[in-house]
Amino acid sequence: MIIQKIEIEQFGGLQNYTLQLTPGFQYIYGHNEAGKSTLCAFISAMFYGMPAKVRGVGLRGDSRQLYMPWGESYMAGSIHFAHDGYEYVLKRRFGRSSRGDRANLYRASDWQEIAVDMESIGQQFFGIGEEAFNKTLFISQSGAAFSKGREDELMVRLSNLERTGEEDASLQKAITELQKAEYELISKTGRGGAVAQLDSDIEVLRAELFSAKQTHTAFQSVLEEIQNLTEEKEKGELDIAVLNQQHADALAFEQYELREKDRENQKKLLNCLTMERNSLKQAEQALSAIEKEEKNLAFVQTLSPDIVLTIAEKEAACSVLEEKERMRQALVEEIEELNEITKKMPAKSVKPISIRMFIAMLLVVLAIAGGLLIYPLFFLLFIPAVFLMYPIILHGIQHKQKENQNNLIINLEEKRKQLSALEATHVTEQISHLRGEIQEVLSAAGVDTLAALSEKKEKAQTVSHQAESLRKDVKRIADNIQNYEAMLDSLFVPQNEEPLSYTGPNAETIEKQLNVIKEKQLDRERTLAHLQARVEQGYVSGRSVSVIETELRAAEQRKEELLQIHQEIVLAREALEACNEELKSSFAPVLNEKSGDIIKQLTKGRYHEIKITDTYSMMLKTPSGHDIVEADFVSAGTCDLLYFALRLAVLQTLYDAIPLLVMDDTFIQMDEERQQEAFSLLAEKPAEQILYFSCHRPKTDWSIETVVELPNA
Amino acid sequence: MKFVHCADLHLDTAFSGLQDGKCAAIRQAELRRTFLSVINLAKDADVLLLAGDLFDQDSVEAETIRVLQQGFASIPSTKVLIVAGNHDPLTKKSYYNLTCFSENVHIFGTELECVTIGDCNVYGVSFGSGVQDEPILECLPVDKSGPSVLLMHGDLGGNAYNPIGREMIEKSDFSYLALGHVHSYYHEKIGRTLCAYPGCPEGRGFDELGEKGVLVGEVTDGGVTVKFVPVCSRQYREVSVDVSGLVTHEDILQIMQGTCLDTQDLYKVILTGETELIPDVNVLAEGMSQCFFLKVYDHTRRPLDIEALAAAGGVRGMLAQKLASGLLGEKSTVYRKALEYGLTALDGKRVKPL
Repeated sequence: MIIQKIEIEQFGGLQNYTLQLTPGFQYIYGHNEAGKSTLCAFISAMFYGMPAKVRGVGLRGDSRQLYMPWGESYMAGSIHFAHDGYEYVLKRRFGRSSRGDRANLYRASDWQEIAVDMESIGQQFFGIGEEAFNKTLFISQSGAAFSKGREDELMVRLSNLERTGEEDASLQKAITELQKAEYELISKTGRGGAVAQLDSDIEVLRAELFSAKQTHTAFQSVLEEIQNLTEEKEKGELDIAVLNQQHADALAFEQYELREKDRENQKKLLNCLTMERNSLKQAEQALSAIEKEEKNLAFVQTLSPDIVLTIAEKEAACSVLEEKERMRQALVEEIEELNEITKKMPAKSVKPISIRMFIAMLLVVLAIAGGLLIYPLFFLLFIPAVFLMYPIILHGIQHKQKENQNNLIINLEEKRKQLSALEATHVTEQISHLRGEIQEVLSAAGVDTLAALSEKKEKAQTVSHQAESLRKDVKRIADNIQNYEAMLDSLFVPQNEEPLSYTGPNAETIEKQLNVIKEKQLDRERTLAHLQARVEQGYVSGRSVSVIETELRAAEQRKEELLQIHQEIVLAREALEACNEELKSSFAPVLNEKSGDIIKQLTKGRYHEIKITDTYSMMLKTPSGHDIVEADFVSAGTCDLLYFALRLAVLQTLYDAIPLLVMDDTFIQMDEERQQEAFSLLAEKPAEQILYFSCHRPKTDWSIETVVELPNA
Repeated sequence: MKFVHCADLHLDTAFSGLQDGKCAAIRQAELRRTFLSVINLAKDADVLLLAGDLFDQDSVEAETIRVLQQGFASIPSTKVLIVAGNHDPLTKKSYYNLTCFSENVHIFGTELECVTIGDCNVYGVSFGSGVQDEPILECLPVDKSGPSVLLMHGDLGGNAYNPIGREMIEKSDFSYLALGHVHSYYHEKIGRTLCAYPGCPEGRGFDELGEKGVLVGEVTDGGVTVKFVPVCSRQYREVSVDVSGLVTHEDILQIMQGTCLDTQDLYKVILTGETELIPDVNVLAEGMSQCFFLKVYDHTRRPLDIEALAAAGGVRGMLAQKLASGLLGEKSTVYRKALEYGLTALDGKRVKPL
């Protein structure tokens, strides 16, 4: 690869810029902002494109934004180069985003466009990807050091080259691809992937199967219940039939009993009727008799109810009057007697007896006191007391007689007055009138006395009541007879009936039992209808057990298959990883040796023994030879030197002829001595074309063949 | 006595090998239709003998029960005699006990019973549980009154699932031993007894390949004649297709189309041979979508000279060497596939595990 010309339409600070280049080692220098780094970036961009717009990395991290000319919306340019005997012109344009990118490759001889994949122009011409390019052919201003990248194409190439030179077998890519396939089946965490999905599906199917089986078990229970209910219903029908028969028998017997009762009633009725008829006859006879008597007492009955009282009052009045008459007559007789007596009574007066009385009393007291207290002979004093008291007594009697005489006279006067009063009332006439009235009533009633009248009246009352009562009796009996006759008419009782016997429960009890059983039957029928409807409609909703089982088996089988595939892929990956380890351990010594030789040359033997790890970090022996230090601990210049040596060693391993080296002031941190050695090494033309960009003018003892001074941008 | 002898219907079975429930549901319905085909055959027979495993398991769909009830009821002049098998033993909760069948159906209990059909005595006994390692009958009854048939589910000459000894059969005087349990048609004369398995009337997986059906026959004083009558709606078929040298899926499809001609059947296609092409089984199955069901199994190998590869060196050679020991062992298939995956990845091609 020889880059012949760079033409920049606009890129970074360069506009309408052309740079002619030649094969071999060219030292290109210019002031700061002359565009050196821009030219390096342009070369990289032309062959490997620019990254898509990167957010959040700042200007320095986003080369597209960094090199977009201010106020412009695109970058463009072309590179003229020769490769494998052909000359080419590569034109590229870069927009603000990768959508605006364009690339055209022409054969320089006839401007025939060659179809090219914009993403792999560098791969096509350099045979390595962008990452490997940046680790080997292209040393940017950030320094020569590099570390293991994502794909590590370098490692792959080195690994393959070390064994057979197969450049196209990407071991790491293959391992990654197998890992990807592995994770498709079982993810890194174990929780994802197709197998995990199948596990989840299997779990769901198992749960669905369990639920479906449970539903079926319940369905079986429903069928069992239907079976049981059907049997119970049939038994119930039988029981109902038996009870119906029993009920009919009980009813028949009850009716028979009723008829028996009717027959008895009939007999009783007949008896009663006969009796009633007899009673009626008797009653009618009695009534007839009574009515005769009633007729006889008709007048008395017409008398007012209080006639007896009236007559009695009149009698009483008569008695009173008669008593008055008797009093009058008694008074007359008494008056006559009193007149007689008064004529015979003397007219003597009565003398007072008070002194005698006093002495008599004194003697009495002395007799008593002396007899009791002094001497019993004092009781003899009673004799003179008595003699003294005789006249007193006699006086008393005479006094009494006089009083009586006076009283008699008074009494006589009163009697005369009374008599006068009585004779004024005309008692006799009244008595005669009253007696006449009384007699009239008594005669009409046919009695002599009031008592007889009263008795007769009472009797008439009684007879009337009796007649009334008898009439009622007769009516009642006649009604009874009518009723009995009606009842007899209503009774229709077969006479010659076979006797029935029955010992079971009565119809009412059986009816109750029947009702209970019928109620239960209804319940059973309702339940049966409900259960059968559910069965008819499809008791089991959702998918069938067998369908679920089919899917479950299929899922389990598929899981087995995938696990087998997983096992195979893991086996392949592990085998490739083992290969990788083995290769790494095999190429490293060669690289160590090559790098060591270059470093030895560049450091004039100071450092000569290095060891490169699989992450491209370096361990080197100190000049004393006793210690081994990491490259990170040496100076920046030495570090750059070491990595430059590594790059050269890698390139020498990868290429028979290194096509191109682009270096952006790689040796700036080295001392002059080392710089001289480094440039001397470059002067040996380890590559077809070496473009070394620097901001310093080269020293004459650097033996640089071609020096190009860049104009200011 | 004219009879139709059927066994191992396994109604409401789970179909193995099918991928999705939709296909399984179709097969379920077809199994029920096959049952109705058997019923149709039995219309002209005196008796329909069902020798066990009418149901596949405890769970039976309501629709299946209805189909059975209606089916049996549609042949009222045919006696249906059923014995229970190990998949549907005659337990309290068995659908044999829970379902009300028409009067022409008789289900034999777990003790030997006899039903007389015309001049013929039909004996039968059912499984009482799913496990029956000992023979249900210690000896078979000897009935010399006329032609006699024994209906039973069991393993002739086996040692599990009601093993039936040949000596026992020889001593009996049965004209016909109507068996169930074995899913392929088989018959054997032991003494004067013709023993027969009709097989299942409809295949359920790729372990039950070929034509399936029932036996139609007649028992007379002179003996027994039977004829196999296919009734299955579809057959399971397994075909191998050698794709050696073929480089495109179209080439493979062409051969498959020439091989899988009965598109209503279920096919298991095993790709064999050596080819550089890594067959995509999904693409091939899609290309054969006219078939009711087709599953492709890739048993092809990459043409590899493993010894040469190992000797050649490079990463590929290293890989071959690393896997060499396994390629010769028990798991050679696994190691071979691992090698193929590794080489595919080294070729920069996508490894498609699914």
